[in-house]
Amino acid sequence: MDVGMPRLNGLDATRRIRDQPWGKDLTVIALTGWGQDGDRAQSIEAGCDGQLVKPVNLPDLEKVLAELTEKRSPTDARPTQESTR
Amino acid sequence: LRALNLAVAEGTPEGRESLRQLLTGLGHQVVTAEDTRQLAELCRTCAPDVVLLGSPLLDRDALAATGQFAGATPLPVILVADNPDTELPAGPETDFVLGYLVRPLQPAELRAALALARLRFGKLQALRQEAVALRREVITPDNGQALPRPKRRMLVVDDNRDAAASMAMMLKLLGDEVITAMTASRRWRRPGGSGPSLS
Repeated sequence: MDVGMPRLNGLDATRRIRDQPWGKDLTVIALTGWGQDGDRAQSIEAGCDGQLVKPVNLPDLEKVLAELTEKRSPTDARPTQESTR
Repeated sequence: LRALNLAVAEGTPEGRESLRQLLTGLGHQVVTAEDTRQLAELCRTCAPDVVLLGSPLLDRDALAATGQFAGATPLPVILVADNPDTELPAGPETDFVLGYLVRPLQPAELRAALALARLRFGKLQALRQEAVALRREVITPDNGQALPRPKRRMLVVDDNRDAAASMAMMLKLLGDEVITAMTASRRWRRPGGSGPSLS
């Protein structure tokens, strides 16, 4: 999610997503163009799970995705009511 | 316990000074921060062995400053609470909060908490490395043939067409399914869980 978009910016969009029932478990990674600590803090406050600073390179992208997948895997592995019926 | 480089984040001058005196009395080197911004700067420039975080500053931003955020290397944190009712925020940001002390502090318990935090941090790091190695073994079995990973569904939202295209290309290289959007929509829906997801 690019942070610096016109009209509805990425942080507001993330807040709206988090407000939706389907948006609670979505993983959102903020894309910022400058990487200041304030931006990181704002990204977290808005509900982002991670942050990448542009220009993004493949190793960084892979690393962040791997970390987020690792963090989410315990709950993802848990069977839902629907899948256990 | 060898002399450690420690970062103390406390909101009040008295709190910072009392912790600094206790810690330097134990033979450690101490740098102090009075807010989250300073703490983030210290963590980046000084790479402390342990961060002692005063409970008034405890929130997700402060934990993010100590690296409890994807894409960063976490530092071990000891929470210094003003009262025993202080609660940690829920979530993975507290995985590396490895100690909880309540004021008034005694040098002996501070020494023990630091030793324990260092020990647990070392074990956590070793476990993380072991998990990475095991995952690699599972993903790449003996015949060297990578097992197929389920495709992740990714949505890239960026008004910069080139940046969005570059991101989409990298995600496709990683084997993911990608759609792009130039703007965030107020009408996004995720019917039946068919929207973007990581897993």
